[in-house]
Amino acid sequence: MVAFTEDVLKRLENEDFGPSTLNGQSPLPIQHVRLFPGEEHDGIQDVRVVVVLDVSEDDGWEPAAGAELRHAVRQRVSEKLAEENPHALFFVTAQLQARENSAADAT
Amino acid sequence: MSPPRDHLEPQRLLEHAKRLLDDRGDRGRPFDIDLRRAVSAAYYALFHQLTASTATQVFGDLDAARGYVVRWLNHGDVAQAARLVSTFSSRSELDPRWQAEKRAMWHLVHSAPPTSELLSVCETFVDLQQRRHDADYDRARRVSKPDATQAIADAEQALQSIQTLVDTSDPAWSVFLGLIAFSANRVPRP
Repeated sequence: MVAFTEDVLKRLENEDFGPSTLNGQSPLPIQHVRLFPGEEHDGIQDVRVVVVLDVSEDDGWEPAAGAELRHAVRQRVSEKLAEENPHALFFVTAQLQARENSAADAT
Repeated sequence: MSPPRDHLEPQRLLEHAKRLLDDRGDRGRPFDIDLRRAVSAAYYALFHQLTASTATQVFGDLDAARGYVVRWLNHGDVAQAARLVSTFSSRSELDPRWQAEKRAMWHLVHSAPPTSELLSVCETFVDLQQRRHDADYDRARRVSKPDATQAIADAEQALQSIQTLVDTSDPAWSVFLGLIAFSANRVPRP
């Protein structure tokens, strides 16, 4: 059984990863953050983070800022997951999406 | 005799990915299908670099390593080695509840603590693999130009980090490549 279920991740998403929490440290404007449970690989569970940015595809974003944001989000989510379950082994992947993808993502 | 040319050289794959961003569709943007292929090519640049590095680490600079041995390594093996290095290095203390294999893995990873360059390579690889799966298989999801640009930049940065790891003879890099090689277990039995 995976350590981080959809329910657990949804709760963390609502409690800890709102835009107001993350935007202060972010090099790019965040619209919202979503956490999804991934598969377990030999005892290590993937947790997928999707960061929807408040930029359109045409605005784009600087790849260096994108890399910085992904690193920061991964760090923060990892810390929260470790607090939630100190015994779980997990690997956080983080992806950025432009705003125009958010409608499809929400379905 | 000079070695055979590597037709999947990582830098050539990155150049290919960048050219795909330059092609213009009917609305002045790159074609959607080209953006998907660019993400895929960026991922493969990193994948082929890691498999080539692993083969060379184990078998030395042999033509057979470049041309054949690399095919014993698959995507899941590389991703799992990346997960192991990243996950166990983030645990500052060994958990007594772990089974022997996990405790051994913790000791191995902590015997040569990964540098930020190696952790970045590991994280980028698994991230890019996920993005490549989306680009290659998820027909409903749009791949945007920023998505593709970011994937190329991330792969390029990871290749630079690998060069640093090689130049500095980083011991944790050897551990990582060893984990990839030992995961493979696909040596053909005669």
